[in-house]
Amino acid sequence: MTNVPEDVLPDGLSRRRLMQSAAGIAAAAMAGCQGDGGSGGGGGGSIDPVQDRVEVTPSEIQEGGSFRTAVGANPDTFEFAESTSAQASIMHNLIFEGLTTTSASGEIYSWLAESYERVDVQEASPADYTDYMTTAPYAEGEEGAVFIDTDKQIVIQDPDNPDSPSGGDEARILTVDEAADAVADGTYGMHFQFQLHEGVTFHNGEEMTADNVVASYNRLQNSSLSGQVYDSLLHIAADGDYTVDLYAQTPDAAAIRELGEFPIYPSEITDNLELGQMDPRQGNTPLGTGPFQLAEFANEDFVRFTAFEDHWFETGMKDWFDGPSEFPNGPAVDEVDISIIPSDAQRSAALQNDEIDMAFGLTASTLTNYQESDGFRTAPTNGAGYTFMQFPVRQEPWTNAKLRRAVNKLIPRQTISDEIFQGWEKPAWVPLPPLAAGAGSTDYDAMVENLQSYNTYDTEEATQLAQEAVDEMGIETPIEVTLETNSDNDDRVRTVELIAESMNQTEFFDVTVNTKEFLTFISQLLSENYWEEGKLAFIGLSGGFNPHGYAKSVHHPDNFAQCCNFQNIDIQDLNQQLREARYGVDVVEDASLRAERYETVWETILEQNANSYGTHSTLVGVVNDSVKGFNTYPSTQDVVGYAMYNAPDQQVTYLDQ
Amino acid sequence: MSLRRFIVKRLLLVFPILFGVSVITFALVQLTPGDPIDVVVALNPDISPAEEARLRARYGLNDPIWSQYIQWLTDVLRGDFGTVIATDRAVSDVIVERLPETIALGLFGWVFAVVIAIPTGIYAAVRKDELGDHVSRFVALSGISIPNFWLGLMLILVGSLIVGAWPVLPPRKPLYHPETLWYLLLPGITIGTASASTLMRIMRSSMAEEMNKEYVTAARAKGLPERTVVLKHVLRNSLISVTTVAAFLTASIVAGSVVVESVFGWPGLGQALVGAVRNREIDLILAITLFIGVAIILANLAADIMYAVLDPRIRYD
Repeated sequence: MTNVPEDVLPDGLSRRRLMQSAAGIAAAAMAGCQGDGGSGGGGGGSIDPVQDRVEVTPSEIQEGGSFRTAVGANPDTFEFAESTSAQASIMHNLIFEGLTTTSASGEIYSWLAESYERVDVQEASPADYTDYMTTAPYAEGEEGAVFIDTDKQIVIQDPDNPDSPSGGDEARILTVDEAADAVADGTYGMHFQFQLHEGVTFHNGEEMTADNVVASYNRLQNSSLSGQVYDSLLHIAADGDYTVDLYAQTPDAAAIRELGEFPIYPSEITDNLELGQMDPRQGNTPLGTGPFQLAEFANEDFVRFTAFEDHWFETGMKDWFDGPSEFPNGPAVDEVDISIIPSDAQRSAALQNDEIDMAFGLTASTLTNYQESDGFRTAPTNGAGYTFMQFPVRQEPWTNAKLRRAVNKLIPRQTISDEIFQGWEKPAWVPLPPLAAGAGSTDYDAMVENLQSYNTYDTEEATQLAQEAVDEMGIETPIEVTLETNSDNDDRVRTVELIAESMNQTEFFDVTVNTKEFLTFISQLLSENYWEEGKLAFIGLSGGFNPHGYAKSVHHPDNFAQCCNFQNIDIQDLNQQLREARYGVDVVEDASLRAERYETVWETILEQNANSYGTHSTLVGVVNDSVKGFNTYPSTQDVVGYAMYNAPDQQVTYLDQ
Repeated sequence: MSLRRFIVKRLLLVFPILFGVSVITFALVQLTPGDPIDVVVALNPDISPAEEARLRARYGLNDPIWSQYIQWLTDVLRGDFGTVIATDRAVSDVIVERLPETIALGLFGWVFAVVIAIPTGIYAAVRKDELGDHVSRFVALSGISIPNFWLGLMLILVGSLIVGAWPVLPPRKPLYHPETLWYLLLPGITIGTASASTLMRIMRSSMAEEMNKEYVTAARAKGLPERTVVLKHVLRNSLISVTTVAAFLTASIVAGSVVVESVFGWPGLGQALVGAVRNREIDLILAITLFIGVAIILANLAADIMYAVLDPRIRYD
């Protein structure tokens, strides 16, 4: 989003996707092949999201200096597994590294792992694990919340567990303790094997081994992120010092993307600190293998990182590296200094005043001003964010798809993009942004050309569709509509007002715009009763490289009363298509088939129109003239780390001193 | 009533007032949709309902509101102001961390107000109805009328972006470092301007009133130099009302810190309160609100005491 990203919800998978950018080896169609540098997967291949990518000449790179930037929020914690903040992730990604890494286009490369392979893939469903399951009681909390009362991390629940359990009922579950037994018997969906680099050292000098990897993954158990991990992960085990076996529950085309890039910590952390304690505010320094280490942290004020002199990486270690031999082995700068400044206006002022070198999360008008100014460069990249308007599909008259499509045809996407976002956000002609085109389409441009007519502004067609819907349902017009959004994003409010105005210009609708403070709005959207209110909700969401989230998060029953199926949408055909696009041996082994199936998904979504997709985001970093080589990553989470150094993209930023 | 009894009585009133403040604040926060766990869920949508329920239970958010309040009050009486859920930090740690920043800013604003207001007020009173008086009154009226946030933004625009003399970001040096004064200047002026304007107007009217009194006429008749008359006789008597108002203005400076700290990114209690409200961190909201309440009550009490000390004719009934 060009706007401050605080009012954009991360979709359920995005944080993991973007942070661990694991590599979908979707392109690796045969078991046992190397997963390095595979395309994001589909027949269309990956699209570099970085617009006007700036490249550097290695001989011109100047070493040293402090790269200064600012973020909008204090890091909630340096404990990755307990963090829910994108702003904190920016800092995590400087310190920590995972088994894999990702390019800006979403391609996955081995990183701490010298190589990895998919050893095996086979059909497996939750029912296949029932023989290994144990039991645990359901407990009832206050306000009737019922949960399975166990301290163990639940991996899989028995599909036959009661839909509406009561306190005292028994649940059958597979926990991390029994998962190993299932794997030992050959019950799993996928098996990956990682060969680790030898000689990788943590910031404390300890050498990384397979045991560190296992302990680091186990640290995710019962954490804030556990729900995102254990919907895929079955089991992880060390095989000697430098081999790690990782098992997924089901054949999942996105498994490696979901599971490959969790941070690896030294035993000083995993053996001695309880979950949540790896934070300077708790008196503990976060430790990883990353190119930077935490040097100084003033809570709510600033964080300073210094280059880790003994960082392990050399370009020659990677077969996939095809850059010049002179390309540096790590970041050019000595230091990254991040101020914590909640106000985007103040961050912009600090950039103008030469107190920081890079700012992001600025409003569209501010970006345009920078674009027209000497002394600064805007670096736009197709983002993972999108806006959407969700219809109350279970409430009359919105049960009628024609009526929903009529409203969709009244959304002036191009005008919104041009007038409100000054071109910084792009019309969402299809639900899938270009960022995820590689795995989500066989030919993105062709798909857009084929499906764009669903989303073009056309009052004539809208009138016709609305008239048909009104006649079919026998309802009176104008239909009173309440359209809601969050009040603390001016551009979004203007977008909603424009949509309302467009709808009101027809004889069919009488629209009232209702705005609420972000958290108030979100707490209502996430309630179990919002769908009964019959209101249209407009909000932003952040996805990732995996196309799945762009459909599932806003449509699937699993996401009801969570993010972001607020209206209790349940379209059976779509649910089935989504399953078939991601899960199954066939789509794991054939990336083109997966992409084809996603194209069917997008068409169904546009046909049903339970959600109208508004715009796709552009993430823009603005740098001053002393910054050379800066390119913006497609998600906030790695906007600094990627810019400093990303070997797959031969990305390095240096300061002209 | 003696001054001592008056002070004791006022101090005893602090507790019911703070109780009332806490009840009202607690109720207002409860009336607002959402709680800290909603923030966690919004940022981490894959969190399971079971985990959400567990978190709510852990922080007592499922308990009845009255029960939550009693629990909070009991903890506070034991010196435990609760936890910031998002960061799992003790509220008292946050207060201790940020209080010096707010005190420094408030103190600077207060000193600025006094230093600007008193000479200007004297000048305006001495030059009553002349051009200098009109100009100073106009400036004072503007200072009262201009909103804090707008003045702050203008000072950033001019001082930092046009002149380039002041930094935009807050200082990284310790508060006692001389360089910090430079950083304090713009937010300090912003927070102190309205108070300076109010004080100046009171100073002027108080001085003008005193200068019409008979003892001033007598002093002049004795042939005392005008400077002596103004600074020795008139000023001393005028300062009684100004001093009490200056104490009262402490309250507005404390309250103003919320806006000013947000505009300048000053890492004090005011900025923490804004963040706490946004994230529904009720323990932190209550603690900072209580702190502000205590500061205002003590400032008002100090004003009353000073008034009595400066003017022995005052009796509290």
